[in-house]
Amino acid sequence: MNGWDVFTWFNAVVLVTATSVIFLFFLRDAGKVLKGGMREE
Amino acid sequence: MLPDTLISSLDIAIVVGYLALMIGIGIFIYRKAPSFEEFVVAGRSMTTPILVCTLASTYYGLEDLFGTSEFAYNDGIVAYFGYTLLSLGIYVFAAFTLAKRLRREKFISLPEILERYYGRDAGILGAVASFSYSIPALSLFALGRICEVTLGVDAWKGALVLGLVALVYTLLGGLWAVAITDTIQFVLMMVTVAIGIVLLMGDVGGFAAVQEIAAEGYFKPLGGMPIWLLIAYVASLISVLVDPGFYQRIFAARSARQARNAIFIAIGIWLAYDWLVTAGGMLAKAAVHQGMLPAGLHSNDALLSGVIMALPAGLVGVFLAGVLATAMSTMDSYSLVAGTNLAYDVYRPLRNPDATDAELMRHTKIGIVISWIAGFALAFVFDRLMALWVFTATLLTSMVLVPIMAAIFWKGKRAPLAGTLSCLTGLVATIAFYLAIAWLGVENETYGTYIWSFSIGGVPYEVWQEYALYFTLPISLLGFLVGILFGNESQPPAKEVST
Repeated sequence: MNGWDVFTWFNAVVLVTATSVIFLFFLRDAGKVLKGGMREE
Repeated sequence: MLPDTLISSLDIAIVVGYLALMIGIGIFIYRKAPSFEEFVVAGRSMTTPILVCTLASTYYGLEDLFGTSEFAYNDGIVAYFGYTLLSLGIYVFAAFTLAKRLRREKFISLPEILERYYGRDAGILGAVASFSYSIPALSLFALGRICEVTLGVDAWKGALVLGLVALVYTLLGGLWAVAITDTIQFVLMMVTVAIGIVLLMGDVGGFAAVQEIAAEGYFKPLGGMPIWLLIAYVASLISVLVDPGFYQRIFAARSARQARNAIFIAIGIWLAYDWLVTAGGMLAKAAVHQGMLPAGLHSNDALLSGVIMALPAGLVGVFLAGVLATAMSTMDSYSLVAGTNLAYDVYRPLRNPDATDAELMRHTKIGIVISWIAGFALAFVFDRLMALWVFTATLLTSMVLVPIMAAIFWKGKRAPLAGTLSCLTGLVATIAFYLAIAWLGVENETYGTYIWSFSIGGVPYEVWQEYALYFTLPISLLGFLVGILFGNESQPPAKEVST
């Protein structure tokens, strides 16, 4: 495995982890907003 | 079309399920009966995670998925270290400078900035430019093209069906429906691209296989390209600074801090995603060399073919749904912007300044349908769509960049004439430049553009159609300065939008 392979693996892991975390926060926030109305606080 | 063996019935079922889910989301939002402000800027209630998803998916459309991978397939890592890194600099600038000011003043649309600072005429000129730019012709065409390549369906039929799905959920749910569907697209694309590229890397034997066949400069960060050429290329992306969809997301943020944080996180996501897209293009080249992909593969289809080949059944359907959603997320966002322009920025100031919430909603929806029909007609009648998109992006940037940046940063005299003249001179300069280049220049089939070649004192020069902004922006600035010198000073009233 050369340096570019490692760099690609690194980016893939970062992307999947970041996407999962953001999606969980999205679900939390979108749920709150849509349940409580869509107006600004 | 791709071989049938690569796409199973399970994959087709996943795509159909995805489309049904999109419509369901539209109906869910519709039943909450959103007001005009909720429909257009999501009630300014979007938090950082929601904004990250909608920013990352809207601004990474098919041109990135196919354009960057094609660039990487042909030229190597310069696609990432040259083009991507430089272009993300524009977003860093936007995060630092624009987010706070734009969010604080509670605008609804980009032309409203012009209307509030320079009066009705400048606002309407800006609305015309924003509407032209937002007609979703290119994304409808791309939607059809993907259907043709992956499913073997006629392009216009694919664009009609999928475009209608996007139209329906946009009409039902406005920006919230757009943002939720953007999020699903965001997750589908990021995860399947990450898995697909890693599997493709394993299939071809890693980057060692690419290095064996790489041409000179394939692994050089700037690929042998002069830095000024890359800067000129990236300068064409300056339209991001006046992109009405980008502004709409900042207006929709719960606070300026949430908008700024979202842009920074989205930049981090783009950095990882763009490398994978670049790697995909390069690895697909090795796959072609090894006979795993057809020798005549078009470089534009390299990533799509490589990832579909590498992914197992089921995940191919998820990836295809993500690719289709990429085009749909661009299409829905811009048709919503175009609808807002017709209703809020043209109908309201010209015909009904006291329009009620219900009237604005109705006219926005009519505007969305008009922009969709115009986009569909252009997509399948006009054969130079990319040139048309470049023209409308140039027109928008030439007309509104100077007055909007002045509205945000200029602390001196404010004159409505400056905004109107800047928009008008930008408009006239763009049309004059395009006509002049078409008349003096020669059409270049390879690049699909016009180039005017001439020499001064024996030194040859070339002016490309793509250089328009270097001429039109200074003229628009000149128009602005003349307006400041001769226009009457006024302070347009700071207006709050009633909801």
